Amino acid sequence: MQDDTITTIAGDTTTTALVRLDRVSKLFGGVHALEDVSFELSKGDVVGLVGDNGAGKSTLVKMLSGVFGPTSGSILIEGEPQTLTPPARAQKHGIETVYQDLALVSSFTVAENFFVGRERSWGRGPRLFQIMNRRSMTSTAASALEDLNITIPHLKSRPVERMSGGQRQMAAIARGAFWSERLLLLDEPTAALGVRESHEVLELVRALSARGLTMLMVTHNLEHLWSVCNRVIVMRRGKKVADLRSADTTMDEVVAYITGAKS
Amino acid sequence: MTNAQEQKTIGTPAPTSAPTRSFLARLPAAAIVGIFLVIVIVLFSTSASGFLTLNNVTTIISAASVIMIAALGQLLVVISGGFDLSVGGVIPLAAVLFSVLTTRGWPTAGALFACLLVGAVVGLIHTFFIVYLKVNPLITTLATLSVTGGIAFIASNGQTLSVPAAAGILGDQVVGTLPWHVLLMVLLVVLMHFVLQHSILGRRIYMIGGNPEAARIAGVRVIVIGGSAYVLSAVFASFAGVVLASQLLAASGTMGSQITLQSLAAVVLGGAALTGGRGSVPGAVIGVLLLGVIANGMTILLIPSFYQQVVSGVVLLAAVTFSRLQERAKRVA
Ligand SMILES: Nc1ncnc2c1ncn2[C@@H]1O[C@H](COP(=O)(O)OP(=O)(O)OP(=O)(O)O)[C@@H](O)[C@H]1O
Ligand SMILES: [Mg+2]
Repeated sequence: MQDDTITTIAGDTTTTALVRLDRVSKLFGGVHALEDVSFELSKGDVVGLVGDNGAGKSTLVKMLSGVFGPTSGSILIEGEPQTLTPPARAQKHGIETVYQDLALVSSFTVAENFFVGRERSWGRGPRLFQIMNRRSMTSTAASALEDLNITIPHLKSRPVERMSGGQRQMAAIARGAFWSERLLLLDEPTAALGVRESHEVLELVRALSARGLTMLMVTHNLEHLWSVCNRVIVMRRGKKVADLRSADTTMDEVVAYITGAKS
Repeated sequence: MTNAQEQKTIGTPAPTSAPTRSFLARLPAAAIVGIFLVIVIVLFSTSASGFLTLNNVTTIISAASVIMIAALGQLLVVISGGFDLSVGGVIPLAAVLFSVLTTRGWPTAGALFACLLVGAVVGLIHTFFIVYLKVNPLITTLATLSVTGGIAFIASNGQTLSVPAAAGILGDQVVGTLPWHVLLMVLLVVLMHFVLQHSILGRRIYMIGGNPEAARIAGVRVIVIGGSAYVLSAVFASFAGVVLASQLLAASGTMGSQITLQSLAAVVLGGAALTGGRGSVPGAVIGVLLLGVIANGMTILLIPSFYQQVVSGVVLLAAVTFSRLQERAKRVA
């Protein structure tokens, strides 16, 4: 059954996949956080990644974002096996991540956070001694947000620590979308948010999807998943137990996979 | 009284009180200390005769210059998320070394360079332990404070050494009553402000203090950035030691030991947080001036120096308390 679903999805893909995981495993000490996970992401896919606590979702995301490498197996970008560690290398491959615990610098403004580690600058010589082109960074960040119809007041002057969780999450996703050329990874983007703010975040994900951005979104909320994703991958104890089109399945079936009632 | 007011604004969401609250929350911590500085200056100029004379202003700035130089280094380290207690040991070490070398006939520039080099070595040791091995900065710099201060004491044999007058250029005057070291201090202040606000190095020092994990993920080399902060701090402290020795034409194993606390206090008064990611050069300047003005005014009023210590401590506590209250007001706003 499990193998069937995999072959169905794989069989559909005629062109080279944007990203392909080939029998990826990750061991932490003796714990198999991931075990022989394989799947492909095609351009434009919006995949929901679900599973119980400790199923390996964040581990999978961190593997793709270059936080750590697989213990075995390989990751192929457009057909070529690639090393994605450290995160800066994954970024060079066009993979951006919105981490579960928000990798924003809280004392920086939204505009400053946009260019963390990738400052625009004047001058030659060692990068650290170059002069930042603050105006260019600020205006680019502002227009990137405007482009996505996100209004965050004081984005140039107010540190993000003085913004709401929703505003911070919108800023983090907008930053990811701005830089990602291949894949945007979202680890529980709505977990800490209220109803209205979650709605705004999902609205943004939908807008990005309409632009053709490929996304992999970890979530515990199936309603959220169904409202934006065209595919769902279920993890259980480090293994992939299902990989289905949202149109071909139901929430009940997905829950059954998550709990292990079905496998 | 401030407390009561604040509780009221937080408790009752009266629309009229909202502007006051956001005004208080928006005012940078350094600005409040700045206002306090002005009040203190007004107080002293009415009560201490001769306080607001050009001569005395020069005295204040001259005396503050050593603390300012050390505070610039301290500021970098505090913004990067650590702190440097060794300042009060590196200063006498550099002063004694400067005295020994110049007495032996080294050229002033050579002796200065050697002192800065020793500072850089101390900074590298801090980098290794604190940034690389992640040993607590309190323990590490407390240890190096003890080591550097101890070496200074041994090298000077517990005595006060003299510095040849010819080597005291930094303490000599250039324009009117303005000494060389003040000129250099102002230059360093401007330079460090520029570095922190406009260079990529500066931005990343804020970054590793504000969110080291985010910095690491963003590909920032935390060891290089954190290391530069510690090395610069120790180099600035050595320079402060040389300036102090040049001012006094003397050096001893205990001189400048109180500058650890003063530099930290100045930086914190100026809005830096010991949790990292916050602080500014203008803030540190205001902090140093406040401490300097209080010390000077009290000296003119013939108040013994141990009272000055008490007052400086109380001012620091008041500033820290106020910034905590302000932080809370911000959260609510
Ligand atoms: N850095 C690590 N070191 C050791 N074990 C780890 C590490 N990260 C994750 N694990 C283990 O790997 C397994 C998978 O964890 P992971 O964080 O990927 O789960 P998750 O699906 O994201 O769960 P959640 O829904 O709670 O976020 C767990 O057993 C976890 O304890
Ligand atoms: Mg997780």
